[in-house]
Amino acid sequence: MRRLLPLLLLATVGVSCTDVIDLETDFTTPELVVDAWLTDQPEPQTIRLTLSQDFYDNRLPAGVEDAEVVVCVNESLEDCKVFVHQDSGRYVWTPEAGQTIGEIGDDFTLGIRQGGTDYLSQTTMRRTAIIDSIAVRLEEEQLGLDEGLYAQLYARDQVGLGDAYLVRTTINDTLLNRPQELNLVYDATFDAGSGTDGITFIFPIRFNINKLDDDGGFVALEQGDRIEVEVWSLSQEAFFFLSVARDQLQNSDNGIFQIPVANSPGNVINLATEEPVLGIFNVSAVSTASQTVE
Amino acid sequence: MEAAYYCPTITLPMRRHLLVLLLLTFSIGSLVAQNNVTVKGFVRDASNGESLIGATIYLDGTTKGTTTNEYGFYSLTVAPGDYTLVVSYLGFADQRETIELYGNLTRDFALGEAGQLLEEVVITATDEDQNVSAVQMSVEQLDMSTIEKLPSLLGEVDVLRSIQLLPGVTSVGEGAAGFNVRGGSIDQNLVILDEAPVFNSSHLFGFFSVFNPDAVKGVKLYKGGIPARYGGRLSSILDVRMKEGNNQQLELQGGIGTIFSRLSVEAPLVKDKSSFLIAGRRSYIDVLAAPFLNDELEGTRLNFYDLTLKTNYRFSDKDQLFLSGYLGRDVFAPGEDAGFSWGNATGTLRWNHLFSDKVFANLTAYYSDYDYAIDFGEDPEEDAFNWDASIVNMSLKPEFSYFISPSNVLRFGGQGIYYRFEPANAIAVSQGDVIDISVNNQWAVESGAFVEHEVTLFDRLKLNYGIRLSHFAYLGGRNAYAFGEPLREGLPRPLVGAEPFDRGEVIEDWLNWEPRAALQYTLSDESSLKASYQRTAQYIHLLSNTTASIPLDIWTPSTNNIDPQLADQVALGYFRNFRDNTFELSLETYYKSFDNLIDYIDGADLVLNEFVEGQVLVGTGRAYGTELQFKKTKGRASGWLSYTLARTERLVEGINNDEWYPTRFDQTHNLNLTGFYDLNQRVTLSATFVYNTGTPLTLANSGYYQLGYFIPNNAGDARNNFRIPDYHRLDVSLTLDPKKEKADRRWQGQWVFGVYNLYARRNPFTVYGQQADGRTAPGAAVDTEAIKLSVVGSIVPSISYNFTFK
Repeated sequence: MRRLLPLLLLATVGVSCTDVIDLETDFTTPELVVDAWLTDQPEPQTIRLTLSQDFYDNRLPAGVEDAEVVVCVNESLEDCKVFVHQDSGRYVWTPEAGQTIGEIGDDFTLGIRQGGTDYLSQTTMRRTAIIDSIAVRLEEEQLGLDEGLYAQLYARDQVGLGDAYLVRTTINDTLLNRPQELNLVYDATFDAGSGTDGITFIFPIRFNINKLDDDGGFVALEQGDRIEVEVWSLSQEAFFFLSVARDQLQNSDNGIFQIPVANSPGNVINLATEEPVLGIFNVSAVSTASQTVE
Repeated sequence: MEAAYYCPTITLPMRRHLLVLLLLTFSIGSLVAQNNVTVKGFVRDASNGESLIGATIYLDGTTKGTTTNEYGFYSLTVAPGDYTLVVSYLGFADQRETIELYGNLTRDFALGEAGQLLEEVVITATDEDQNVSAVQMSVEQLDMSTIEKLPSLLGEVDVLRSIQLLPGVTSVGEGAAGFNVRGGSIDQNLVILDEAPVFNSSHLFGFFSVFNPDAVKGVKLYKGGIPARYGGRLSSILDVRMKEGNNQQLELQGGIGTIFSRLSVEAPLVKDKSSFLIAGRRSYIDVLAAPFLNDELEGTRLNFYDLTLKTNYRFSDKDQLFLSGYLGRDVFAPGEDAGFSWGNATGTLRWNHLFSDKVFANLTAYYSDYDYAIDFGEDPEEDAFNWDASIVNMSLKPEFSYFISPSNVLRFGGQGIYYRFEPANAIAVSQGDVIDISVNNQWAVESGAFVEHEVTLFDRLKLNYGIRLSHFAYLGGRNAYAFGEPLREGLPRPLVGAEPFDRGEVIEDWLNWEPRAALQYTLSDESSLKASYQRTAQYIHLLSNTTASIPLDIWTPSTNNIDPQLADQVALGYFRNFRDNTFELSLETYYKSFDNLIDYIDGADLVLNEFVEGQVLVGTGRAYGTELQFKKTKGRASGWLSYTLARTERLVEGINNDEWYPTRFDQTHNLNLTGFYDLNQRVTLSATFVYNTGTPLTLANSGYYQLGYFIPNNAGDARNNFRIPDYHRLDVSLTLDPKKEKADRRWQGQWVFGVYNLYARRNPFTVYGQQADGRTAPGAAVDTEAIKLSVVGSIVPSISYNFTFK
């Protein structure tokens, strides 16, 4: 519900101000990062192994290239997919034509061996939401919105508590990847615990498939624009990870009401220390829809 | 002392302990000699009939004396004889009266203001040597004439900002709601307006306090040595007393400021017997902005207001009734589709009764409600979100003061509070589907009983000791939840059970003894040593993990998963006055330990969460420091310097690798310099300088890529290990009072010119890292940057005009 705060803050913008400063951190030791977000799509699946870096390094991560990576389905050692290192820490499994990594309800085990240490993670592919349509409508001018055409994603949460989704939108080949465009859904609303269930995604989520500009305002669509939406299902752990990350990535909008810095808890366990490493292993079922603005 | 009793009803353990208290009471009462005689009465301001709190009454040529209580009442019991009674109050001319005291007498006094010579800023509104002679330590008192002369943000006189200039009082930053006293969090202050608690004391988040200066008589802040009659919060009591209203003549007061316009009316209803006060304030940003709002902002509401009412009736010398009320609200509605509003409402009825010349009783009944509402959505049939929340409490509070002799005062009484917490009555509507997302209500009853004895021993030693017995019951009418162990440290505890309880049934209850003691040892006429100890218990808690508390933060009672917070504090002090009480020095040092403090797991979701108890962590805390204050109270130049050296830390399992860490509001050094100078009879110059060590915070020191996002990370899990730069600021103001030759005019106007943040320092409120503006291309590195946020980024000048009409 902290997403309401930027609106409240309109009242205080008059006097406050921000300056970019130089900051030295106390970061010393890079750690292993597992970036393993797989889907049920019949296309090559990628797991990235990288290292964490100073917050202000402003560079791509260093890849970890000497690992063995395997994903096994339903705890069977016979159905294991080997991810082969390509470049800069990218490990890829390429399915045969029409083949997918698994189905909704399947359990998956990720095994990584690197530098003499074993890492393990387990997850289940959850069901995803049913997309009804993408509707494009003319919206009147209102606060924070110019008059123009805007899209809404009509998708319905599955009946039963605990369904979590990530909405990924591409408009004309631009993936919406700004922090404020990170569009997470839990039982049709923002967070767990609200008790909503089985309804159409609430309005702010439906509307958040529109592109944002640098000032955080929505950009109206133009004729001929193509919108492609994917709804990925998330495990509870993947959702919690991303929801903490979302609150952190969007925290600067909260001004004096910022929440404390918090770490997203990962779900890949170092078997030697029994502590989780950075990052998530999740296998998503994906539903898709697209629309061209006429 | 942390007795946790499990019992079927509230009354049983209370009854037993009340008995102990009563026995204690009577045993002290029976020590009293019976042959003495009593003079009693009220001390008031002659010009408007306002009772004077803390006025001194003493018998000339003796050491016997007393001070008036919160209602202006005094009672002095001595051996029969002829005496000269001297009544004094700083800023007022002394009154002397010769009395033949051979039987009980009633003498009321109406003091007139002192002549020109003494007409200066009054810093201490009490007895001149109170700093040295009173047993109470760790107390700060400001009267309105001082608060009004302090330079203020945008010229708005502000009670809560003023107390932050006192030693031991800090805040997390400019514009943040609330204040921190000796290492306590903001919910550990009991802010009471005419006895009724005010749960959110700020307008516009934290910029302005909700108290209308025209309606406030004075404020008193207890930082330690809290007398047993106060309870319910760990760290401080901020007692705000409202004026009673002029019972001599009609008086209008008002002002036009940058933010608010104010108007108050006070007048006698029945002269000398009854009066009333109505005071209102309203912000008018919206009124000024209205012509400039375009279509999309039409219908915008953006305002805050408060209304204060008070009336009283004196039935006889023995009975007086006071009725006071407060209503304040902030409304933010950008456009017609969305609205937020929040505010307090309180009502207090008080009855003063004199059972005898020596026994003063007050019965208070109050009602207090803090609530907020959020509404979104143009079409509730299609899409909408409505949420309202409140905390309602009602209380009955009898208190008795027994003035046995000038050196022997007994106070006893009790309090019962009924709470109803409504964390969320909420619905979410999506495409016509309405889902109730309410969070269940909570009910609780808090009760307390106290006895307090103030006694002077061997002439030099004063003692105020007492005990408060408090009890809290978390009541049914809902489920009690049980939570298991988290999957891993740092994750929410999973719900493992829900047990239904009937309305009124006790889910869990607690009983705490809270001993309190203060002693003063007179070293000389001009100096003393003081010491105090207090244990305090707190049964209701604010759930908040933002840097500055938001108006949407909710309170929770202690539950079967959240134990009451406890604190112990010891303080020692040296007090000295110089040059006929012109200078006051106080030096105090304290140590405070906290138990059952609340913190939260990373990523906790505190609002609209039925199972929020599963995200709470529990820890301990400690705070220690030394406070120095040096005041000059008389003369053309006056003011004070206060300096605090302090540390406040927490230890919570699961945070900072289970090691002690400083709180977000920890300030090593805190220096305040406040000065007033009467340039001539019309012009007063005021200045304040504030310096404090930057507060600590946690920064993301590293990050890593997931799904193309750069996720901030705090490697090493340290908490609050970075300090933002130091804070300092200078404010000045000039007050122009009416000309002397116009002093007898009915209309008196006053101009105040102020400059806040004179040298335009961009004091940081916080520092953080963020992703820079601009869209990251697929496969490219994410740009990050460090940001310093300042709430007030420049010099803020102001002009305001105040008037009175009599």
